[in-house]
Amino acid sequence: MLEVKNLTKKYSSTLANDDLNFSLKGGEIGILLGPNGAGKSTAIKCIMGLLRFSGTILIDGQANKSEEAKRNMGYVPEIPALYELLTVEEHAEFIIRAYKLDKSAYAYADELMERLELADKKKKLGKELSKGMQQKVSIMCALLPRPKMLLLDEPLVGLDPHAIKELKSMLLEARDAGTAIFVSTHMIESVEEIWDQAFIMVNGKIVAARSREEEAEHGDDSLEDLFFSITEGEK
Amino acid sequence: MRALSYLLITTIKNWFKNLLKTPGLLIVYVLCIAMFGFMLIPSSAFPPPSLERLPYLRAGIYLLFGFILYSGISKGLKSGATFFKMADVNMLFTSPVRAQSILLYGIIGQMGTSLLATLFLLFQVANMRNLLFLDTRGIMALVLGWFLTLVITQIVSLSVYSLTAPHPNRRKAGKYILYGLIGILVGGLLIYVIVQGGKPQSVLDFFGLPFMDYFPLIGWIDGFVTGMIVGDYLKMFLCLGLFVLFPVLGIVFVRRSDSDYYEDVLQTTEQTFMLKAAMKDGKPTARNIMLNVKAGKSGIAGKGTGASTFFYRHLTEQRRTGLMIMDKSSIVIIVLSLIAGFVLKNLTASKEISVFAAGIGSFVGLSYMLFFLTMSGKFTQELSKPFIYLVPASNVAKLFFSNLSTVVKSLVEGLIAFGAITLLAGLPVWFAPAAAVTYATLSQLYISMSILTQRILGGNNSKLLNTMMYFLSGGIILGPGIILFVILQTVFYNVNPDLAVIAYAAAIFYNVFASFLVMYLGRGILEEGNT
Repeated sequence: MLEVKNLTKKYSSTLANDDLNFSLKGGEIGILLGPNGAGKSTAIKCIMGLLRFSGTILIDGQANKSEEAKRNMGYVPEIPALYELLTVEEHAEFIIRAYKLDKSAYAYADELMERLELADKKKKLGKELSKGMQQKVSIMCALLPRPKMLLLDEPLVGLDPHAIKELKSMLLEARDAGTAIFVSTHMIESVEEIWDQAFIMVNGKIVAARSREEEAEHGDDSLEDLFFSITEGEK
Repeated sequence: MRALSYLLITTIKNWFKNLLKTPGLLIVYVLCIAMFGFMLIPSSAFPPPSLERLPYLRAGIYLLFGFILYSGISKGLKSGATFFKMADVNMLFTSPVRAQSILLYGIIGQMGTSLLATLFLLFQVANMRNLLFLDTRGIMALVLGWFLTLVITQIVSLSVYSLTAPHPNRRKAGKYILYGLIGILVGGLLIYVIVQGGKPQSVLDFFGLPFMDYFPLIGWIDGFVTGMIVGDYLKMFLCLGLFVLFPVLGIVFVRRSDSDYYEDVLQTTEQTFMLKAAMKDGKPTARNIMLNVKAGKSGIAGKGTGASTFFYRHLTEQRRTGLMIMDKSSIVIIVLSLIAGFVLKNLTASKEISVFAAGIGSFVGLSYMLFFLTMSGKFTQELSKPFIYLVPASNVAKLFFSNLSTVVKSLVEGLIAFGAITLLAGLPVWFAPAAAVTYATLSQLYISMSILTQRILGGNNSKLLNTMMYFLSGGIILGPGIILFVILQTVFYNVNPDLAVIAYAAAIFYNVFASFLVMYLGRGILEEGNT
């Protein structure tokens, strides 16, 4: 579903992403781990088509900047930012129109609002919501088009325990429905039980990759141990 | 496009709904529109319209509009521009809506923002009639020219960044072209003035030379405004066509580059978003997000304790962000004073005005500029942080010291500005220190008006509402001082022109007294952390 080949992103003299290569199948959850400044957000933004880059990024076989690819993608940004003068339900309406979704999307929007405890905030303007609530609206907007590929940049920051639990269960449901999910985070323990593929990024490079099967083979040497052995070894 | 039209229409609809919930702001908008409508009606209270002051207007357009245009493009070359919000980046750029449609949506949104910014100009409608002798058509021309300048600067800025950002050579070429244009303009002006024997009138004549209307961007907007004023519609439409064609070509280029402009606006959009968020949260680093600030030597300058620590902290920050104690606004004031000095030199030499009038004129002019430049000083930033509320010291002392750096800044720039005018225009020696101290104490009075505005309205208001209140409090607080100054000037000047210094001394006394009184009355502002 997601194919990243030779992705390189350079900002004048800084090499933010250095020849990244990885892929993710439908029905898999991939996590991108790395310390602050490793280049995770840059990689996510490149995949989302927000930055120029060299290399190839394909979403379900389509170039990531094409309209077809975007129709299949959902995105939860690192920092939630809503339209200040749109209410929560108007955000849903906007996404339904932007992605040209059918009528059933309205019912799905209601369901998402219910699950994310946004139902009683439907009529609230974006600027009236707390940061945590804004994050929930971002999640709703990303899930609403039922994307084949879902990208989440530090999605758990600012969420309350109930929302974290609900989001994880939504991600697992989406995975089971065949969605490829790619999560960038530095909170390993929070995604410990849900990942299928893990990529560790340091200084713009993917320095290690591990699948759930490989994790099982390593026994005591958990993903967290691997992460610290790499990142602390760098210091 | 359906999604974008939904977004625009719903945003506008909710903006109006929200306006109805904030009656204060609604009243301000109604007053603004009513005031504008009223000012458009010719009245015997204003001088009869004439073209006599057109050369001054033209020079003003070149100075102010030119500054906005060229500094906007310069910023575009360095860091880009944006008319998108962070929500657009997160939800629109990542959606299947076509990049070209999103660009059009952004331009429409920018036009709306510029329209609101144009409302500020409506406060100047009376001045347009009184000082520039403009009729209704002239006012419309100037307002329209201002609006177009704001919109087109943003579009050109974005296009220039898109065109040059990925190519360092293009960026270099862009800089050469921009600085070349500014060089031709300034160099041409200097040569013309020298050839004309240094007469101040030649400065005004230069901008009126027929070929100046075709000078890129600034000449075109000037040609549009002045063409509309004098009824030369051929020139007006020709210049408008050129002025609009330029950004249209820019948009065509950006459209051709498809969605790649996303990266060009991303950094500026993120910076603006972070800055607003940081300011909302009262983070002390808010300003530093936008500025390329280097820490340099660490440690608070001086040895302040208690309330005075705010002053020394400001000095330390100023060292990192400004030009010693001064800032960019000081440069504007000093450049204006140099221009005023040269103009007044010639006017006093040719006996067109007296030395007395030259002094008063320059003082009033620079004080008027200071009125606008002081409105959002360090004090407003200080209120958004917790420290000013928490430090155990008297409120009046905290208010005084948190504003002292602005007063010292005004004193230094006043001494340079009025010193230059005194030397150039041959004014009496006492004028420079007297005017500079009056100017500095006036800045303290302006700050106290700002405190009063905050005290009455509380925080989180629109800029427009704050500005309206600032103007209103200005009328009430400055009024007695101005009357006192005018009476003493008239009385003592008739006895001995040098005794006019007493009027400045009295104004200093009034400014200090009134500012402390207002600060005392507004001291409660530090007891309400929610302002």
